[in-house]
Amino acid sequence: MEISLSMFIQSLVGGIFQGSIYALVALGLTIVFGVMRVLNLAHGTFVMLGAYMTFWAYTLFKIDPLLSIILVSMPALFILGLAIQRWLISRLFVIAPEDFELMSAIFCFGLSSLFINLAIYFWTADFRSVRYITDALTIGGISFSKVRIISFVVAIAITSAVALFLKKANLGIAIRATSQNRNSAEICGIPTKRIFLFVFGLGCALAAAGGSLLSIQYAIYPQIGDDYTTKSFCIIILGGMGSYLGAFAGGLILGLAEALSSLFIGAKFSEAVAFLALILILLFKPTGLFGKEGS
Amino acid sequence: MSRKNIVLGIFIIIVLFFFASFPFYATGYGISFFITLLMYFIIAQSWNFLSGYTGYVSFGHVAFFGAGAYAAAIFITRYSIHWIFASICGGLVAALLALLIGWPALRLRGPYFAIVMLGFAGVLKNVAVLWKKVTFGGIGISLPPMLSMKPVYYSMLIVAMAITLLIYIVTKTKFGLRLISIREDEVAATSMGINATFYKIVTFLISAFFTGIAGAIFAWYSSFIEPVSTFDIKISIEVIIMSLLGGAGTVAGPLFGAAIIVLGGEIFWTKFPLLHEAILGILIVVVILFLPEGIMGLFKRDKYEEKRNLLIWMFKKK
Repeated sequence: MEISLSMFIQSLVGGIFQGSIYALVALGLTIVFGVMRVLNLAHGTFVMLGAYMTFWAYTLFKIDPLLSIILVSMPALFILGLAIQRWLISRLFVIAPEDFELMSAIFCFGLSSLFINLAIYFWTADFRSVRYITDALTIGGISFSKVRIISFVVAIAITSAVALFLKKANLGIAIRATSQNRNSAEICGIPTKRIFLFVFGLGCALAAAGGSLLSIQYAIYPQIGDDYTTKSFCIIILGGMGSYLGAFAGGLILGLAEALSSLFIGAKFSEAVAFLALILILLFKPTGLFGKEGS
Repeated sequence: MSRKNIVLGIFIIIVLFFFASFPFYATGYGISFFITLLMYFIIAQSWNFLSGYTGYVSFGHVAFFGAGAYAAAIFITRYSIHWIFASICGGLVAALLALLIGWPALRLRGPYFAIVMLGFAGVLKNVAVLWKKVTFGGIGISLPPMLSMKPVYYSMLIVAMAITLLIYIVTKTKFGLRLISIREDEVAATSMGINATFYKIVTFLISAFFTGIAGAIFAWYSSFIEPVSTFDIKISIEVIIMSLLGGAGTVAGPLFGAAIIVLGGEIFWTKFPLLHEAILGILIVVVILFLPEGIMGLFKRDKYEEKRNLLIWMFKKK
């Protein structure tokens, strides 16, 4: 098959668009891992819940999907995250202080199984979609669907807002301090328990934002998040676990790698790209592209 | 021999006798139920051998189950090998895959391994769907019909006994001690001169081998396999919850856990087929939070840890 320049540019841009959503979702995961050391295997499930929030807000109340990201899905998942952290994960810190990471992983695995199957039970496994903006924009013979451009802009906006918040705001600085050293942060008077609450909520909210952006682009179904869990983990390992810049760069790299491999090798194999990248990075640079030694 | 050991010995002999004699008086349904139970014994024990003793949690053990099933099905249908040899081949194929994936993943810390295994199971499922020349894709593979359930039953029983015995022996030797030292503190274990990577990989291979055999016998027993149900993540979840419920890192724990889950599934969850996995999810959450050492933990005399944790919990609440 001949690959023309316009096809190449088209998949390049498509890859960046998809990568921006990966980056958004992975950012939530990496914050949660970096600060709390929770291996959140339910992260993709929160993506799915966010997608359904937007879908139901649109179907039942006719709330504009972009508006519902801020008004419905992010706040709802933020509160869910708070509740999970407050009543469940905080207990885990006490029960398994030594092998907390793995216990939290198993715990989140159970949580994800619960939520996915409740979603199947109550909302059925049907494919659903939000019919939002369906027309496309054509520039110089290359067309982009408008809804993907909008998603890209929103994803980048949320990601930069969070990055700015972590960099400049007092709470953001406190979060970074906690992620560097919990005990020292506590000595400096940072209420790490409350930071944990906020961070888990924020992680869930970011996943939800990613889910909402998915729901206006693709059909959604209860297992849609499974892919995002594994891919987000691939991304944060690629970028370095706990590294914010790494999550962003890793997301874009994965999006591009998937798009280009589906163009050159075939769409079938693009699924395995994330996994291949993961294995390669583990073999040659286990700390990730932006990770620090021994973190 | 203390009195406790004698009681335990008699109990084990009775259980073994029961399992060995079961097919002579049971109905077909009973045997097929026990085959499922034995299959879960094998997989749960394999998972326990790896994750319970080394602390490296695998979220994708179904990958080896499916790989074993597919390898055996292909060997039986393509090359008409006897199913018992095909089962061993299935186990070997699973072990080979474990070597390929364990080599990079097991050199790292636990969390990486957990994630890699989750992805690995997904990739193998995709391979089974996409590699149509060999696996026939989504159509699946039909095997020749099985004539008698008894050989399947006894082969499952032997494999289940073998893995349990192996775990028992390992816990009594230095090998087991080294595994536990890796679980407790890998850095300290390495600095004591233990080649942690070697022990982890050997354990992983054995674990995958037995899981593969279980998958292979299952393929022969069900006489039809296809990707979605063979690589079902539900199997991974169930195996984890069985081991945790019984008590990971103990010899008998996973057996109790598997018996409870399989029996419970048969009696209770058939009434709620759609909520089956949701209930499993709740069980994982509850076991982790309230019974982190499983049922076997309840028998432990040393309650010191528990009391300490309770004190910490109460103290921190104020």
